[in-house]
Amino acid sequence: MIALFGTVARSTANGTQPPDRVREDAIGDLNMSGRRSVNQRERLSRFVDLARVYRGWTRSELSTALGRDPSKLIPESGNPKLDLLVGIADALDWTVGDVAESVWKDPKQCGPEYEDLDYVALNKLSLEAHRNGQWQTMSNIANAMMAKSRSATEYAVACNRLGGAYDGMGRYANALKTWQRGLSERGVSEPIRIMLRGNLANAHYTLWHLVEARAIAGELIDQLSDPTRCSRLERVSAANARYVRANTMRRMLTEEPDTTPSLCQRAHDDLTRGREDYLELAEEFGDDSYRGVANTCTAALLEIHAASGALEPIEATRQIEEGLDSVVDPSTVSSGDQLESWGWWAIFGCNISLRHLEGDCMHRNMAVFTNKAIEIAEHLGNWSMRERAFTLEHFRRQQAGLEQVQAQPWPLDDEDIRTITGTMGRFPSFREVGWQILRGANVLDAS
Amino acid sequence: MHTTNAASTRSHGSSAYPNAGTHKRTFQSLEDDQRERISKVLDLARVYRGCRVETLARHLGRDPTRLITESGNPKVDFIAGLAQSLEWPIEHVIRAIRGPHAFCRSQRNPVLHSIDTAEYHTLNEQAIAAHRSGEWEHMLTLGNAMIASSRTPDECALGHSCVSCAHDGMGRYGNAIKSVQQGLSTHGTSQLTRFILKANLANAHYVLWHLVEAHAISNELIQQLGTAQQKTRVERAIEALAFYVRGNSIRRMISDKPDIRPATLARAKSDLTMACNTYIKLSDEFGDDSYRGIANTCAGAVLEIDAASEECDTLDALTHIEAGVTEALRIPTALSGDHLESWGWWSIFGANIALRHLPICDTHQRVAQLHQSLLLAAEQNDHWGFRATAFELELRRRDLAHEAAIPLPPWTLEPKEMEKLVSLMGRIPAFQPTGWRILTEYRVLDRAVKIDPRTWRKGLCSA
Repeated sequence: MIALFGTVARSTANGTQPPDRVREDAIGDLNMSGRRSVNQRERLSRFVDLARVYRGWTRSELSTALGRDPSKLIPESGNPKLDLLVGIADALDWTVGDVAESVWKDPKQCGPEYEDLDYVALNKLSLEAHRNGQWQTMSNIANAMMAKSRSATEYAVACNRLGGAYDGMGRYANALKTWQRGLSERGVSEPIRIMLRGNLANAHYTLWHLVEARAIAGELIDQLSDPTRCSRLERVSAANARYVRANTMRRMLTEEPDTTPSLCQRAHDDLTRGREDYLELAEEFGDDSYRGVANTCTAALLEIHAASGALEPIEATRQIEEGLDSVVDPSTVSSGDQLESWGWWAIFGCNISLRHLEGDCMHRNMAVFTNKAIEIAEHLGNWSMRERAFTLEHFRRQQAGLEQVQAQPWPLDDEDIRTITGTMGRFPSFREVGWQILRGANVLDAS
Repeated sequence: MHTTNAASTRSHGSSAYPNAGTHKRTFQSLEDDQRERISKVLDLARVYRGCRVETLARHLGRDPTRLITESGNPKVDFIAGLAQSLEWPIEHVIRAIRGPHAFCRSQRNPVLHSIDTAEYHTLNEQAIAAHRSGEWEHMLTLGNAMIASSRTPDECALGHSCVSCAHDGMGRYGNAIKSVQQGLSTHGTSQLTRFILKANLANAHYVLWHLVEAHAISNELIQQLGTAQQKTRVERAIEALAFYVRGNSIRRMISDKPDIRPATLARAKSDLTMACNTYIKLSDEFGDDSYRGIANTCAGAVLEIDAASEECDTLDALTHIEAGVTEALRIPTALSGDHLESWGWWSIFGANIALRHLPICDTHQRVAQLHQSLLLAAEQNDHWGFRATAFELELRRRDLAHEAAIPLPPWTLEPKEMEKLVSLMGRIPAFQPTGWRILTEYRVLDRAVKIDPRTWRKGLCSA
């Protein structure tokens, strides 16, 4: 999808970017330098003090509670073991994750390479990193921007950049929190607030917080419906909000079957208008990424029409198959946004098949569409699409089990396992599904 | 959580990691379980990175033959390294290592077994009683049991709502949002159930200062409920809550958006007045006095809006609030529940007016007085949100006084206050920066650690 960054709007999953797939040589080594060790010891010591004061314990009482010798409560290395973290968390009534993060992460960390640059220069660099899909670099720059910001608006812009970097890495929960942080600043200018709200709606949509996504998008549409709101940012934001609201309602079809007619009608209206707006923007600004989103709207309309009864589901899947013929080889599609849109075509085809078709026909369609979606998601490094493709394939296999259809074991290769693992870290709602897939395939036992 | 089963029949002989379950025993110890789970997480990280054991070991700063320690008790750098390798949050890696039951406190609850066998409607009644008496831990257990014994989507969703309410009562607001979101993601619920959950969701976002979400969800809910004349009691209560959240979200936005338009303020006033009137009617019709308490909160919020929109004199509004709070809290034990809570809110509204509109040199003592009233309401009501706001208000008052070179005595905390501060930092992660500022910039922690714990425990000193 499109993340909003000012005059330039672009996909966060652009096929022209280097793939975000982690590689062996990309891990690097953990930094446990002397300085880090000292800082970490200080932070750990602060937590030990806090736990002692919170409980009103002597050092010896705390040591007993933590199962440690009082003289060795804080390891020289500043590198505590898990049981100590758990003990401190229990003593404080905090979650162990909060304690571990606070001990490990240095809040003042800011890359030395950015110390000499001012805010404006950093902002330029962050946009460049965004264009090149260098998400980790963009995140480092955004942190430096935060440190150097001198107004609420500057800070909020830095939050917008950091959120964009997280979004690019597929860390949607972090992106959401960062955009919320930007919006909580006092006195941020309106254009920046509009961008942050658009991105916020999109992040909620990605994380399947459908109520939030639809409501925020709806308010943006209302606010931007005034004909005087005609700047490029405002028009892109309105089109993006329509896209989010429509697709949220499309996703709600499964959860709220009793409101199908009304959801279909409203989603149809938003998608039709959104598609028109994006095509106009593409024409006017010569930006092909908008055309890609318009193409996604076309396929979403097919899913809506199948759900409303306006189109026979089998005909809808036929049209989707026909559309996907143009991406038999994804590497031949030059535009990342166009390719992404075809990935969504495949996902919507899965939805239609799973919702409306049965038996062999459903299984055949699903197999074709999930394969294509996974292929495109891999090509783009699009985590959101990966999540959908694997979840839907999992549903199909569950359905096969219920129908007592003889299904082949899921042949997961290393690449699939990587993808599932990465998706589990990014989508809390996928974790259970992920573990089920991995357990079902016995892949870890075989490794 | 979703980790592998300790009773797995998996053979460990082929593991890539020495010590990963080489100790075959009749029954497995905690260390064995943990070692086995670490082995699986390492497998996952290795496959995810597509790397050899040696490369992963180098990244984790470990000898490949000693990746898993005998104790099965890894250090934080190892955990953080795994989290980095997997691109998972640290918390999730710890959960995967510690296993499915490590985080489920209710598993240790002795009453759970009897609850397991109860029917849904009995559990629901017990949960309502627990809610009335503020027994949040019990309500949480009951809510989870409701989910387990639910037979329809509505029952399941309302079980999640109950869990959310329990978390809210304990001040665990992040968990409250997650629970209500889970309820909303239940497929096939009725519209009324969704309305209930949406109203709770809007309120949960409001409590966490997610004002964009709170405003948008309550706004949509008000539109969805429409203007039908015949509404049930539940629908009217949902609508009143939606107006309450929308009006108060705008009120809170006053500070974030200095350019807020008069029309927006007028809408906030209209929302709060609407909520106030509905709550009074509900109170009269159903003899439930708690509604009247919420109506009183709405009336106080209108005063803050009036001050911001210059519809009333700021000093008059502040004086009116101070008089109301002083009179109501003269005998605090005479009040309870929503009535008492409403006066806590009045204290916040008064402090907001003073800090926003009046010079700090004239009002810092009045703010200090309102801060005390808020603390009183927080303690009487066991209200974690009030406690957080009280610390934030005091921090803001001191910051402003410092800027205006007004000398104030050092900020000291008594043991009980310190306990609340630390607990708040655990309950509300967004409060942590405020908490650390108080502890470090005001040197509270430095002083506290120097005090003899025996004296500290007796509560006879402050830091």
